[in-house]
Amino acid sequence: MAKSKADLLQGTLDLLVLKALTLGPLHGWGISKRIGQMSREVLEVNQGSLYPALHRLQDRGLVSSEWGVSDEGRRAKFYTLTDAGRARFVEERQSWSVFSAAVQHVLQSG
Amino acid sequence: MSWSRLMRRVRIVLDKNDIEQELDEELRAHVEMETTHLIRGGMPEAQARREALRRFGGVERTKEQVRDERGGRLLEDLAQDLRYGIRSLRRSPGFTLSALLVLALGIGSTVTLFAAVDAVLLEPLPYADSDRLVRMWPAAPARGVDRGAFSYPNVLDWRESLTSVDLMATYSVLPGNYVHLGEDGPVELSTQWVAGDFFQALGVPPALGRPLAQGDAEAKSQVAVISQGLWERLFGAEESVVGSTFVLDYRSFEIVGVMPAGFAYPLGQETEVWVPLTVIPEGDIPISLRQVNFLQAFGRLAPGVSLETARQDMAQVAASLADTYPDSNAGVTAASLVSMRDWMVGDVRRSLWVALGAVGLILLLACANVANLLLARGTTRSREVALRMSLGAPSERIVRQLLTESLLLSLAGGLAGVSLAWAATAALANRAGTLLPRGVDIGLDGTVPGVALLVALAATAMAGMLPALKAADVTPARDLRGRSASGGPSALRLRRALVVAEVSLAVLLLSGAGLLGRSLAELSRVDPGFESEGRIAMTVTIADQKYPERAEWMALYHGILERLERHPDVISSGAIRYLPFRGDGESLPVRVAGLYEPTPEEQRYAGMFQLSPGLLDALGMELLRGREIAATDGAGDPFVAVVNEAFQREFFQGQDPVGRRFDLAGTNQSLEVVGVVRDVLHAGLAERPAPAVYLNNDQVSRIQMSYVVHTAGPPLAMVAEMRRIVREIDADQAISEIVALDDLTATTLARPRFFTGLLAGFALMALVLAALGVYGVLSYMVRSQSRETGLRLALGASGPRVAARVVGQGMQPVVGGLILGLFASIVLTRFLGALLFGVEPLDAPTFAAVIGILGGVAAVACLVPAWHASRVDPMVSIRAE
Repeated sequence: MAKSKADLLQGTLDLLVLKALTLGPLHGWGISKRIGQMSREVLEVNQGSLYPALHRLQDRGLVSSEWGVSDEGRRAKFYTLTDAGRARFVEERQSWSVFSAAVQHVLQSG
Repeated sequence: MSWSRLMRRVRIVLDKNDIEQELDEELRAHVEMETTHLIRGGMPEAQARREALRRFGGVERTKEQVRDERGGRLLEDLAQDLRYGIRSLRRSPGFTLSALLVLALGIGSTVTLFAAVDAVLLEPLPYADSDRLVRMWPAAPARGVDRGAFSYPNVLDWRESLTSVDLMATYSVLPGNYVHLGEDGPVELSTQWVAGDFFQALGVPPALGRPLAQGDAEAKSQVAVISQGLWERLFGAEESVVGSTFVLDYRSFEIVGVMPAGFAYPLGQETEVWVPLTVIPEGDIPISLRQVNFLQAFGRLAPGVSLETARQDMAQVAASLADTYPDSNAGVTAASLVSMRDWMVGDVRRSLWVALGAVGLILLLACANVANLLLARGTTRSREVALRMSLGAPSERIVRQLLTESLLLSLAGGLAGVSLAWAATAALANRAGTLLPRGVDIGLDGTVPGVALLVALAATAMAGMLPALKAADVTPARDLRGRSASGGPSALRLRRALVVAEVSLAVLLLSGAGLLGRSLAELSRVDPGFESEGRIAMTVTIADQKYPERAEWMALYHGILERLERHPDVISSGAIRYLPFRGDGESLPVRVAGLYEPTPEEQRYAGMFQLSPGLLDALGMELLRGREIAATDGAGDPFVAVVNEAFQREFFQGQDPVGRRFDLAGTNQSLEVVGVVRDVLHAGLAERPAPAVYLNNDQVSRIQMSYVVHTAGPPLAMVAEMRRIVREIDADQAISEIVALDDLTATTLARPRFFTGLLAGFALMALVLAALGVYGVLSYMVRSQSRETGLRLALGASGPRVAARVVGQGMQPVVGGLILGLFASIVLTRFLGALLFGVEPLDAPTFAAVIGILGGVAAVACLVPAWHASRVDPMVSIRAE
């Protein structure tokens, strides 16, 4: 049970990270901040999940990484969406809409 | 997994330090950015840093999770396990070396024996579709003839009539090799006389030209096919050789084909020339007569025909021929056939499987031994394992780590074992030419490397699994306290069970080797009926093409005999057709008027041998009654014979035959028995003596004779002398062979000696391994119980008493193993069956000796630890822990 919950959360986090990166390359801290802004501060990303998720996405070839310099002039690791990542994002967003609409439907029915 | 992903993972393992550093930096950057962000929001710097860290959560935990996610975790762990394993193996070189040695021996000998079984028994024969090739013989059930010979007319009738056989070939090994007069003098070329579909049935096309066919035999063409070796040696590998002629036995033969290198029938026989058997002069062998049975046959079964169907077909053909030609074929109403493979390698099949079984037992023993070593190591390491577990290592991780260690060990052992096997197979292939059919093909090829890997992995599983599981089964609370370094009573129980297994395997191997050793001893003790010491023999086939008149070639024969006799070093000399172990004579039907007058169906045969006067002395044969053949029994005199005891039993019902007469078909003479000799085991040491008739070569003459010399000096010194004598008589006369009779006997014993030696070697290994096992467990037990022993000694127990107690403890599993092994031996030694000679599979003295030896060795193995126990100093041992 605990495992399936983790999977769900994990899948969701992956989708959010991909979405955050569609707007351009970002470092880990930036991603967590951007997700916060985009969700109007409703969602707070746990760093303990974010970095494993980034490395997992990289292992699957959905994002790539390279070292760069942040706006504040600090060395940071920037993540970029790969073509495969972009395709996966479109796919995942599609199935998420279907899924959330279905959940919505269930919750509002009789 | 995609390639790039795999590479990334490999990189993660290889650049581990860099990547860890990167991760560290990435996370640090995150915390700093958060800190900066908080400071901008108005927080004091120190508080902002604390808050940033708090928000981040556990850095180490995050790192661990990242490591899990980024892939390559398994590889990473494996690399770590390997590094750790190598380090820990290097830390205890004594253990590592002994385990490696044991494994290398076990794996090496298993792979070697498998390579032998593979090359000799499993690989298909080097003929096309060889599974359908069969050897066939006519049989005469009423006279107990199972595998008779064919006459040429009979073999042709079989070839015509059989529907179950597509192609049928016949061949003869008589009457000796052809001589070719080369520039360096006469050479004998090993020749095979063939007819029917010899090359077609074997399905091997010639490298050049065409094969022989039945048409050549029918036309009596003087044509020959030669081997690639001869083609290279004699004709410089010129392709134009096809169509040219060369001289064999003073006759001209046209070369029509060259067979490729490696072609041989039967396997191992190095034939250089094949000719149609119809070129044999009718005067040598009356080929066209249906009575003259001298041919062997084989054939290729028609598709879908079973052996049994073919056998019935052949029996039917044989029976109808027996009806049509009662004079020659009466009683020959059945047929025998076996697959070509069974015929070629059937002799050694049981020996090889037994040896492979034995070596499998050795491997088991080796694994048990290594498992025991690992267990001993595991218990001394239980503290280390407990520490690692209490620091949070999961137990499957520890099992994996320990398994990696034993995997490393057995892979290294496997590697060493395969190197060993590589050397051993080369040595075996070198020696096995005469020992095993196809022995020269033994090597690490084909399926052998795969099997080697499998053997190594199986060894790992057997030796490593149990100890690894056992070692991971620790209770930190108990093992960290360190009091019980013994790994608990269950580990000890396991180790004692392993000792039981080791001892029982050793009993099994020792009994097998013991039985084979005893039968070899029995076989060596068999009296062959002749003396070989100081004797040497030269076989000469007189070139009767050069000396067509009997008087001429008999003059040559007498010339050689006289000169040998006159030689100063010669004590006695003579000549015989067929040296001992080289054939049991020309088989001829016997009749004794009034005493033995069988119907044709029940006719029994005697082997006919020609000899010269004086041969009995030269060969050391013993005359029991009457006189030997004399020079006065000449060609024009009444025919006389010396017979053996088996002949007397068989045809004279045991009565004294001296002075009585019998008929021997083929000589068309009534022969008078003048003497009786003790049986000579012509067919081999393990065979029952068959009836034999010895005639004077002056009366029934043969061109091929073996001249035997009993010399005062070393036999080999006669070789040059014998060559000189022949050369002086006729420089063109070839010599087939010169052989010391001691070698002749040794050759017949070579195979049993080889297999017995092999098994004895295995048994010795088993003995050592079992002793090591007993010693290891016991000395370990003594060490771990030294506190208790010290206490006993302090309380007044005497040293010898303590020692006796240790021996008693050590011998307990040994006795269990002895009993178990004895039962296993009683069940399993019967599989040695046909390999044994003069000893039963359930030979009580052998078993008693095995129990005695193993028990003794085990007791000695117990004594050293027992002595150590009795020398324990109570003051030291009690305070030690």
